Amino acid sequence: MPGMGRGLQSSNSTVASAFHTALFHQLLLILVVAAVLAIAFNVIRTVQYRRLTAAGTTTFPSRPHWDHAEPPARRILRVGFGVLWVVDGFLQLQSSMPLGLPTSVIQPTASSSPAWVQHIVTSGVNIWSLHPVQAAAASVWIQIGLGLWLLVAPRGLWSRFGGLASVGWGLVVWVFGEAFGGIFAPGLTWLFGAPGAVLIYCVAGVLVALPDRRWATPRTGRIILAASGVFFVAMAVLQAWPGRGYWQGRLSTANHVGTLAGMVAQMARTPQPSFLASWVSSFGRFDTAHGWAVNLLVVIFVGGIGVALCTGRRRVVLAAVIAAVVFCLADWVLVEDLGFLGGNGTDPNSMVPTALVLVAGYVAMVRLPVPLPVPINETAPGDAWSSAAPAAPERRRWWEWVTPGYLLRMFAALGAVVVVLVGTAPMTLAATNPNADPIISQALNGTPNIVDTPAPPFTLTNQRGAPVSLSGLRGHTIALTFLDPVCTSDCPLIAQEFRQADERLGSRSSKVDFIAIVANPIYRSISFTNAFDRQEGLDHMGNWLYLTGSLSQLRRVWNSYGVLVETAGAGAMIAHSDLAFVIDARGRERAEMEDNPGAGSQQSSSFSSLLLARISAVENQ
Amino acid sequence: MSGRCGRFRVVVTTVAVAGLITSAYVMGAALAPRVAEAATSVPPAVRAPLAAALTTASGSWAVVAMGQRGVPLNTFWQIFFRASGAASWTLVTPTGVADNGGLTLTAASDGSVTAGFEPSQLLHYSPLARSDDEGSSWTPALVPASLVAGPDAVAVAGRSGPALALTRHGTGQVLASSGSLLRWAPLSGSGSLTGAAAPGCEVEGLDAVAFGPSATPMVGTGCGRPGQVGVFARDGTGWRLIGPTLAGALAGSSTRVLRLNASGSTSTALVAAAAAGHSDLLGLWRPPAGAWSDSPPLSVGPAQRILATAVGLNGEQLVLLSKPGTNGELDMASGPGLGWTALASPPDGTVTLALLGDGNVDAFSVNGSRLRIFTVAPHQSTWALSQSMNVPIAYGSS
Repeated sequence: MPGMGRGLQSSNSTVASAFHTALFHQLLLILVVAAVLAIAFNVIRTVQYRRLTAAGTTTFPSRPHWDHAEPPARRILRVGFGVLWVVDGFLQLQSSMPLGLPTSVIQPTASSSPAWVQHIVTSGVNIWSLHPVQAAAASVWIQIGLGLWLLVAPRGLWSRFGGLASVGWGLVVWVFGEAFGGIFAPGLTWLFGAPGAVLIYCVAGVLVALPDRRWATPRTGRIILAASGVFFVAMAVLQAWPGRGYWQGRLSTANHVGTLAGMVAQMARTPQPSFLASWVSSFGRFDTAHGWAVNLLVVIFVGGIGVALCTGRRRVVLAAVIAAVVFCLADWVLVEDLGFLGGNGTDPNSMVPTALVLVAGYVAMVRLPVPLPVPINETAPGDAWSSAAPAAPERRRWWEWVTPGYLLRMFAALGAVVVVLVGTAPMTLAATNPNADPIISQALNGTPNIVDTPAPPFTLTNQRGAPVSLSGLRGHTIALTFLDPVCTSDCPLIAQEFRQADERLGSRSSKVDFIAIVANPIYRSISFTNAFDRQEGLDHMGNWLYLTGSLSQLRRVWNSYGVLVETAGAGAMIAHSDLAFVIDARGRERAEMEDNPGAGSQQSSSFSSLLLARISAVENQ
Repeated sequence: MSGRCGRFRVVVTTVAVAGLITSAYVMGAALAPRVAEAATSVPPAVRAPLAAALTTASGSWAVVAMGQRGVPLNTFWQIFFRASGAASWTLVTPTGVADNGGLTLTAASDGSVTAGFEPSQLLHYSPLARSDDEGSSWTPALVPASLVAGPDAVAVAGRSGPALALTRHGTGQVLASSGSLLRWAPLSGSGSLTGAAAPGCEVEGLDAVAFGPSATPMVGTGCGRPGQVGVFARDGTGWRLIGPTLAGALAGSSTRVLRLNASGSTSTALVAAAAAGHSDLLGLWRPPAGAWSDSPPLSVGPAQRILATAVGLNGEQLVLLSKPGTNGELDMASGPGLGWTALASPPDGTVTLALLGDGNVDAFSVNGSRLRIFTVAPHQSTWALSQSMNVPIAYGSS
């Protein structure tokens, strides 16, 4: 019925099922590729063994390819953020992600940002909303793939590219998923995730992508810590800025709490273990009662940590890092509420990444890479701090220096890249398709009912005043629906779906007629069908017919097609069934489907995809 | 030595750049506009709402917003009719089209009435419904464009007479129909209203349409020229400015025509005159071929806005203004020079008022789908409940 506002719930079983199916198919693809890579790995090892045997050696090379171990700080970042990406990927597996992420996560995040931010975010939301299954599945594989990539490729170009790839995807998520981390929105606070968890992932990705030689001195660590210190001081200033609601636990107006207490209370209401909810609620109540003192402590603590990090003095910095990590963990639990519980949490928020970066910065300052033992009878394989793959000694062939471990990690990294591509490729294709997937319409209205019965005949009057009968349209496939010409909600949307289907048919549209029959017993004259056509831009569509007739004629057609048309009083719109039919060239009804466009406009063009599929199926039978 | 200096410079530069960026970010974030402060303090425009009533020889008509009035899509507008001499009002809202965009109602001299539907959601043209039998049945019609949201956006001269419609094209466009109310065309010369041909007014948008004596098309406009009231009449040569020029304290005011009607052979108007942040309302009356007479000005405070208007059988103007702490301020101008009479503040929930032929005033008090009608007699201060009813509103139906 028009205007009854049926919308898709994020837990819609049709979409969730399609999401799981897509993930399963992509997993199968990944397993096939993994199998191919495993075979290739064994083939190369076999070739290497035969070459070595022919050269008189019976063992694989065992000398390490770098004369220094991976810098400890880099390893912390690589492994830490690799694990975080994998965790984020698994969080994306939630069944509600395809439909829930835009409405429950992205749009609320962007809602308080300026219009230009919302405009940018909306463009991403639109892509996701048009292709929810592909987008959600892509996010899973891209993030798991990035995580695996970082975890399995410890050194060399493979590893550095992994860092850069995580920067690229991180920026996409930061802009479109986090609305720039909310940095352009009022009321932001570091305590609640500003400037966006994924931006910290990006920082870590940049650090992982640095050449090894950058980690050879404490300078990188000092820069990380000093920059963090400046950031902390700035966040303390922001936290102390008056008029932002952080100095008040309870506002002067009744029943309104301060900004931080409000955020905490909101988090405490999300589904989570009771003990955690209890902790968060307790902190929220404490902040409500002592808002000024809590904020003062936060400002002093965060500002003090920032100043200490900037000093560069080892002991002071160590104390600051320890304090910062403790503070981050406390904030992660009591304010951010772990970040991923309840709703559609997609990551553990910003505190764990922040702590990782601080620890890595400190380690980079105090623990430099150690030289690896080199066999006495072997020479070093080139530049100790080469940023590329290990340089082979001159006149040495690959089988003489590639170790099994190196080969395994290379193939593992290649596999991780494949996992990323399994997500990226279909998403890229989907992003270039402006038409929504039919799954949305099916989720809303159910799958089309496939039938094969004679279509009820009719003779009515078209928008030009000429009589039109169904029998006179033999030879053409017909897409038929029922529209109220003074409808304010559904009918214009359905008409646009028909128009889009016609455009997408291209040259095939000459064999297809798109027909609407008036579904209003009062406003049914040609004047209204023409006004509706002009409004919807259908008056230039050559194969569009908007048919009407006397009330008795219309009632007969409504009844024969099972269309309910009811007149309500008191200013309500005509209520009628949203039904569409596909009739083949022989005048037989081949498909019945609901064409309710739903409550939101995001479903736009989904029905046209479904209608096109049915038209094509009928034409090909 | 140089290497250490170079490293030191790199560290200092990096930290400085990070500091600058972060400081700028903090300043921007801290000084960002607050969500709660997003609303600006634009003074409410003095304009006539759709909540209106009119009285003809056959009876009174009222346009009443009902339902969830804070939710536009669930605010459904109703038309009530009370025949002269009858004791109660009857719900006569036309069916077949959603009216949650708003309704406007006009009466012709022969007693027929025409309702115009404001566009709503995805419907961008305006259906019409005409009744010749006091709302018992309605004949569908349409304007192929969006009617402006004003109580006098449509004027009909009679059952088969010409009609005018004021649409939202540009600053307003007047369409004319020969009587079918199905075929409309821009009224010849209407464009000149906003052009250089009206230097006496400096037209600032079209406000209302009406038919004057002998079915003369009339258009009410805003005038930027101080003291000039923008009422134009169309004769054989085109549009002619017939509105009066205000004198005295209002001589420097810009004006808008809030209502423009014909009561019998008398043309009536309700005009807002604004100057220096202050607004006044005044009623205007013009007998056939005569000069305009006006009422004294009624001061409208900066925080006040018009909630409802009504026109009486003899051209009386009734205005309900918001007034903090009360249910509103109700004033009536009975005729030229008679001044504004303050009536008793209407009952709680009053959204529309009707000035009946017998001089009584009915107040329509709405709470969701529940309607209560109160009546007050002239010179009395107590409203009496005269009728109540439930209107079956189909929430969420469009």
